[in-house]
Amino acid sequence: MTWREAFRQQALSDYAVFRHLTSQADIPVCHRLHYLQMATEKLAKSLLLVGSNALDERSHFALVPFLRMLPSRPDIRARLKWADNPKQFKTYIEKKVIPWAERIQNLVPVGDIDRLNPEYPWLNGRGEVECPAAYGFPEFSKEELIGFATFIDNLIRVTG
Amino acid sequence: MPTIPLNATIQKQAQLLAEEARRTDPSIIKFYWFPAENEVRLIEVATDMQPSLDDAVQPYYFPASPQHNMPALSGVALIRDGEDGKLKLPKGWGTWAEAELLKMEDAE
Repeated sequence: MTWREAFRQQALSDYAVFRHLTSQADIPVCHRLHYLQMATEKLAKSLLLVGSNALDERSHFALVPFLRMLPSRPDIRARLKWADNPKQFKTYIEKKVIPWAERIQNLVPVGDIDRLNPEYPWLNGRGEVECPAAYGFPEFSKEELIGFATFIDNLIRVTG
Repeated sequence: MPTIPLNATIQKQAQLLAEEARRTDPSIIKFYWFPAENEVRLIEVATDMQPSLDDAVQPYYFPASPQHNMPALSGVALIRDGEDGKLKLPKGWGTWAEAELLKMEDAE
């Protein structure tokens, strides 16, 4: 198995858990966000890897750089059913998908302990400890989560 | 045909969710509510949504939040304008003809 194949397989597994969680309304939203962040990070890494090359950097932030390249990929654009609307596709990627992706990407638990994340407790702006499972993540609207997940769902389909 | 009594609380929550979505994303232009007794079922139609690749509506479920006037769980889906009435609905949601188009305060 190549690194590319391994990252994709793990991304699909993470994403399957995310999809399962979307039908489990009683499970805290932090778990959805956690699996969505992990799945998209690995998916992006798999798409950035070529052939049997090994990943040459350890960054968690692979998703946005990948998305920035999408408007110039007519093959993926066509498979996503935007073939006749390259300008509209570029606007959709830049104005909607990338801002969503940046917010999901920034959920990775690195850096200071006062960063919002879905995995570990953190300090909020008032110096209080927040627990992800007890936090509603109002920073993410339903529409944002659904819109981004739908895009990722389709990206997985067309890059298989 | 007998009329099924609908839970007014569910309808109110659907309206609340739709108005909130409209406020946060003006590209969402229509809201189809599929009446059900124990949960909100809502399809939101956006002008700039990724087109469906499998011709099916995929709802995402969110927990109830009584403190925010949302006592029931919500199944919400986003589709692209033009796909409404055409995509296959989730099992148990009925038909497009059974949906109610919610009116928004800022609608023309």
